[in-house]
Amino acid sequence: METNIVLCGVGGQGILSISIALDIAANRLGWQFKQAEVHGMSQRGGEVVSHLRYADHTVRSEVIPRGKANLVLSVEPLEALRYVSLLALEGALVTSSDPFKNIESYPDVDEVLAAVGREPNHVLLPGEALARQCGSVKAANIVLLGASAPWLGMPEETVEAAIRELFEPKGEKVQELNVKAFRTGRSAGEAYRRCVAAGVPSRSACALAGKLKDGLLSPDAVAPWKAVFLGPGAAEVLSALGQPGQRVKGDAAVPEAILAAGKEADVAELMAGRR
Amino acid sequence: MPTERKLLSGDEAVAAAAVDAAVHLGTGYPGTPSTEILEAFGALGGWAQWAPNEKVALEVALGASFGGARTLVTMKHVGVNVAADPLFTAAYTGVTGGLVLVSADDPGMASSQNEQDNRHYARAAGVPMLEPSDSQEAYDLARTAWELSERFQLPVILRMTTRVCHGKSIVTRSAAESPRTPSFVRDIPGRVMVPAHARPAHLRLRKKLDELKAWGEASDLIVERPGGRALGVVSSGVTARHVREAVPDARLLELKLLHPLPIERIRTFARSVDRCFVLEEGDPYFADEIRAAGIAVEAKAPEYRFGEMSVDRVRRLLGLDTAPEPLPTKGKPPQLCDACPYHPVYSALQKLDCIVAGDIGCYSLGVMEPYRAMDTLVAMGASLGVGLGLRHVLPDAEARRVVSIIGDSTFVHTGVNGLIEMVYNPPKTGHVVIILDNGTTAMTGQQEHPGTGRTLGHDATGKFSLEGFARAAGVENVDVVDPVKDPAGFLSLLEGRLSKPELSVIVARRPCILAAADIRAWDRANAEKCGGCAGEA
Repeated sequence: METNIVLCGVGGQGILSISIALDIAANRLGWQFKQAEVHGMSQRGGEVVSHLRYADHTVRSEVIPRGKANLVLSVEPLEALRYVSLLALEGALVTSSDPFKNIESYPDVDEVLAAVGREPNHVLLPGEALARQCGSVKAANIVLLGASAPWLGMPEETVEAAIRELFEPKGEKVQELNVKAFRTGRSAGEAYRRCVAAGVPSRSACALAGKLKDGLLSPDAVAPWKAVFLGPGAAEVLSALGQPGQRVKGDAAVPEAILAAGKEADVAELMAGRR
Repeated sequence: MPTERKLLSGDEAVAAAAVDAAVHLGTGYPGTPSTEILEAFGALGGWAQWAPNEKVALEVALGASFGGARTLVTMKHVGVNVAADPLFTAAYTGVTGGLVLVSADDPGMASSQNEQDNRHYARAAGVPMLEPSDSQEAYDLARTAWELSERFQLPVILRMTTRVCHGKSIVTRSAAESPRTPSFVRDIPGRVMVPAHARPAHLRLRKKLDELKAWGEASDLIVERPGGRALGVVSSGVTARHVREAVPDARLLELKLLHPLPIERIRTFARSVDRCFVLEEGDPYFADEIRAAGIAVEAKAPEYRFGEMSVDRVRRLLGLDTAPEPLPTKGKPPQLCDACPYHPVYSALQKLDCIVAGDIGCYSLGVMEPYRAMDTLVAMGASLGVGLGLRHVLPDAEARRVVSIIGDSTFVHTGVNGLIEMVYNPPKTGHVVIILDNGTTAMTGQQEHPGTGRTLGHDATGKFSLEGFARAAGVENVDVVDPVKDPAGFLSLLEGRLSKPELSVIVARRPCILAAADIRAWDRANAEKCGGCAGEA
């Protein structure tokens, strides 16, 4: 067993907190591990990257070779693309869709997100919106950690225990908030992958996942949502999903109601579950 | 005896080793990637203090060592340039208590102005150098370094690189030693380096290095890892780890002692394999010395002198991957914080089209958009000298636009010397120096310095006055202003000073936005501790 994870984003997004949580978890499991990080200029909005390698055998180099990463976990979409070449064939790219634009040459965000969407094995989530749902926008890093759960190679309970340990000095409220962020991220990631696997366009799946209550989407809701997103009212639905506030229930009733109501429907009302 | 597995960075591991080796005093100057060593040493209960610069730090440590105490001196690679003067002669005097100097190199320049390879310093100064490849080795080799330093009575350099300093892995600590009581033993010919004493001292140094080399050849600081005879690799530090991953079947000679180089072990190793490759990060330090000893080895192509080594590079160098090295993706640059108190200063410099001799710190970021308000950046404290040189030779109209800009910590570090030069050799158009005083060494993560009036552990101590120093040095105009409170006032003050052929220092004082809350809390705590004397005053 060997897991190689690239963690990235920009200064201040909590990249090193994710790596410490995973360090704690790996140490609890008694594994060997190495963590490499580059920081120094990072405090001031520069890129931050941390390489994390854990294994049940000795880890040699602390820097992940190209094509050997099981996971690239990014809190910023452009930074995510920087490390795609490190991914193994079956590796996954998990990233937030929230751009951090501090350079004039930041490419068109739609292009960046489309490039993420073209990755064969990926999760694209509005990390900040989901974190806000859990109580603090600062927990976006842990939301994405949750979305990465399938590729961490360790039991989710161990990661949750590590999150509790990491945030212990900040009090119980912060601990629970972050555990909730982890679970919400995991569920939203699953919802996103289900939708995309069924043929929902990446951006639509991302927008929906960001609105789902606790990130939960019932499996039987995927097909009607696909019909909504590929149907004539898709633009209106996407625009409604882009509005702040109002969470969307994860059951099939919501997309079915939208489909039944046709063009004249008040989409926002329907999504809120009110008719 | 603590035997638990602990996750430590290389820096933290060195601090733990210093505690366990009963190091009496740790000193240094902050610099990425070395800064965390002294902070961790202090947090673990060690006596740690920041010096105004690396030269002073090494001299304090040397004095403590002459007194019989074990000492630790930490700095980044370029800091060794500042400390080089005492270092070279400390090799002659030797030490009494073990003295370990950590040189934290930055291949690839994650946050430095150059990627100099400090292995050359060991050879040039004639001091032993050890290099760890991860946190456990950082701990173990630091312990060895203090022992070696006392056994051969020489300062020892522990050379680390960014990856090892900031990388984290499991460390198990070994038994702690008990501290000794320092005492002074007079040794005038050994420590007073007038030529008559220095000539025999140099001979003594070379003899010690010969003994050290003989000891090193047989020591466990040279590790041979078994493998087939088709390929042998000589390597060290983090590169050796990349090699073990890239070519697990190769025979590997891993050097943890970089100076003096165990050349006979290398010769035997090279003979034992069909093809012998030297793989090292940075300059061809090993390759040159090994080839000079008449040993035929292959070494990397010149283009791999730049940047960090990696598993991929190792494979490419050994011809296992023939695809060209991909271009590095363009990085996202750092920038001044949105609420940084330096914004009004740079806005004024830009508005007045100043020629800005800059310096090293957060404020170096004034070179980025939207200001582009920095024209030179060379070394710590260089803004003053470079600004003066420009003032001396440029036509008057241009000379009058020249400003030197320097941070508070950098000014204390080596800016003071430039200020003395300004008073002694004033340009005929005068000169203007802006000291950006945000009350902390901000760029490296908010460390204290003599101008803050607080120690490394944030307790109250003597405070060096920036404006007091400038006045005492004989600068005609010394102003202290808050650029955020009155940006227009700052602009007109700067404009006024630039128009006069006089020497001016403007201290732009406003706490770093990231440190302000901490600074208030430390000062409050110190005022409470000292409640009695404050009441009396």
